Amino acid sequence: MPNAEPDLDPVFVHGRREAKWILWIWLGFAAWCTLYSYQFGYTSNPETMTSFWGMPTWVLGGVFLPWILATAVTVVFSLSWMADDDLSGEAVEEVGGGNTPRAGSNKPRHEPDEAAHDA
Amino acid sequence: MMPDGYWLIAQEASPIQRQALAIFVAYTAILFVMGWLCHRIQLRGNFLSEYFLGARGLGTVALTLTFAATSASAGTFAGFPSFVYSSGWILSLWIASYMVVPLCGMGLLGKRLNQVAQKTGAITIPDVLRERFQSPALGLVTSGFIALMLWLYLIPQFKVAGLILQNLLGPLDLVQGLASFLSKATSQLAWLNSVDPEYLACLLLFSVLVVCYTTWGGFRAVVWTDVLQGGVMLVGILLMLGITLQQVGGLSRATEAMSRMTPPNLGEVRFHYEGSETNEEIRIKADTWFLLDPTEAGDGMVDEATPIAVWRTNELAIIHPDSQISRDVKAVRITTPEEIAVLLPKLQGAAPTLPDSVRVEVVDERAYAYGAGKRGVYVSGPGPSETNPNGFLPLGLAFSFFAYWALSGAGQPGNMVRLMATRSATTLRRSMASLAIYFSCIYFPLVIIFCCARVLLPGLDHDPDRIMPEMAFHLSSVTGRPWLAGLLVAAPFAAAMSTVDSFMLMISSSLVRDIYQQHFRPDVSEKTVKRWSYRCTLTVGVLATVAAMNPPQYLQYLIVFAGGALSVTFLLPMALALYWPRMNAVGTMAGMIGGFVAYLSLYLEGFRRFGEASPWRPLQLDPLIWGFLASGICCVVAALCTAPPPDSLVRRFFYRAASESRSVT
Repeated sequence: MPNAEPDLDPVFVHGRREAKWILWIWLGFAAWCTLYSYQFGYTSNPETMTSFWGMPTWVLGGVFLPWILATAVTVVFSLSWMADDDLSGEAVEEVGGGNTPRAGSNKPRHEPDEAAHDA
Repeated sequence: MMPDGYWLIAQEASPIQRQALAIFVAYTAILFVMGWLCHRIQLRGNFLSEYFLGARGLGTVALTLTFAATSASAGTFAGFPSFVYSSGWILSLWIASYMVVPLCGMGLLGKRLNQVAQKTGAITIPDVLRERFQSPALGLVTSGFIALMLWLYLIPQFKVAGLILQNLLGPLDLVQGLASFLSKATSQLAWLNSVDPEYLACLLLFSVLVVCYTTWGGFRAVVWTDVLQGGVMLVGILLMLGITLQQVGGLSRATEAMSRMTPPNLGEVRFHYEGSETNEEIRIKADTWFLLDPTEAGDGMVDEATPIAVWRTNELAIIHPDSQISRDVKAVRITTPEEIAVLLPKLQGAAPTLPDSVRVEVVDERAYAYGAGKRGVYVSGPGPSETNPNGFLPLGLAFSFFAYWALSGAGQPGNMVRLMATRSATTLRRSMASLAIYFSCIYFPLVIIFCCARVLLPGLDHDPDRIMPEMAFHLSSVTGRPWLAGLLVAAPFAAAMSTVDSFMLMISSSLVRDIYQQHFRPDVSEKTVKRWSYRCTLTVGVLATVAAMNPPQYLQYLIVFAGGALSVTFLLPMALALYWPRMNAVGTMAGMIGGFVAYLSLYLEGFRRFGEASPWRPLQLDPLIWGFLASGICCVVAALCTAPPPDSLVRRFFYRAASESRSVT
């Protein structure tokens, strides 16, 4: 089994790193939305609640603003930070494409079908 | 001050419905053309790859809108608006995790899943797992599970679509004619003779349409129609937002009115005819307002502070001449003084809404379990609830839903298939960004629209599932643009359709490709596979239609259960299969079974404890959270306790190919 770090598949390495960041981002927004909304939307007196831009202030701070920020983070994360990896794998025909071996067999595979059309 | 513009009495909507029919017919024609074009493309390529995966050619716009349209089920436009209408601003927190759905749903697994699928030539999710671990047994279990869960999910979607169409086209001659034919045809069938023939007619119209273009056009047709449907949803909602805010007089005005509202009382009323003898039945339309003296209202609650009670029916009532009494119909009693103050002069000054000699008896009247008599509950947490004494969204549940939408979306096989069909990483990245903007334009506006609907259309609390079409008809009526209703109601219809078509195809691929071809006829010819794929998609659609004709109870429960079950079963096993080299087939199988069993157990325990379709939520956390926890533990423990995967597999999926390494170095 290879043991040198440079030999790891770059899509795997990038994907794993990005997945970790995504989980942290999810956790951060989950904490912000639920804790902020609880503090200002659940525990204060509803009859004295104020509104801003037409929505209750806890919605503005606990949902609307994080939503705007999360959208911005997603745009920046996906367009600027995510690696633009080459996803094409070993050239194989679609499994079971009419003459496909069962899983685990060593039968050789053929070139992929070229009839790809844009959807 | 409450805004004006109430619909005091249900109105005839024939011109609107005629326009809606025209839009529906045009829409149907477009779908059929798309199905035909896609069928032609299929003939040119590898059938399986084309029919089930669109030849892996999804571009940015297609991926964004097909992902969005598949995520937005009929529930998004029927269940969600009804929740917003019933519980107010708290629904913004309930749905908030859609802010990170594009990131989680596409970014967590997208690139790796696409790469592994391309590496193995996999077309379906069972293909991926089977090839990743070289385990046909794992592929078989996955296929069976996907087919079963998607089947459970499909039936309610058909039902909701039938109901939407009934709302849209019900009174038209075409539907009435078909309904009376079906009424006669099914009169001898005990199983069907209690079903509303109008609903049956609409369900059949929907089924014929969706089954035809899906069977004919395959995945590519589904994606193309998703693009159209995604566009319809976006345009419909943004139009609705603008008109709603104009009608309500601005969001501040609506929120201010909501802050003064108290939840209404829900009840059942019965109408008695006390006039001279007649042979004609008397019909009292749904949504009819009427006034009652609380002290003379039968068994109802007496509120001494309010001199007169304002009620609204939520169902059609028919007084038969022989019994001179109607069945019990759902009704709502308004309790907010400001709303009553606006309604009373209009009702007292207008012609009587009930026929002469009709007396009302309040059979039952009950207050909300949380929020009754409390002002401000519609603008604060946890939100009013008809049944839950802790409110609509206690904090633990709010956190659960933040996990539910974001993480469960990532674990849905329907979304995974779309990630596999993506053309490249560039497409995936652009789609994530586009989807984030798209969801922001859909979900938050929906909260605003249906918070305003509380103010514009009060008194629909006993049948809030109708609020979306009611708002569509109301807005098109007040703006004098009947075509608008067709466009607005097309949005939920499109959402139902886009979920149904993709799930039908996934069930079909599980049966034909993952079970029949992989386990019984591996050497089957493409021609036979093609024939079986068409037959199977058709059969799945027909069976779902039959099941939806007289569907079982607890449909919403089935949707939530099946959606969650798919996520707890597949998310962590798939994630670990893609990112953990030590993962093996036993760990994957254990994670799938462990997650599902934990999730199912909490639903069964809930049924045992509460005697109703409601899960048990230890620490107020949804079964989904416990399911993820159990699935993760089972995956890791079982993988570590069993033999590691062969080096060849680890090398294939986690390391560069030798030639690639050489060329790089």
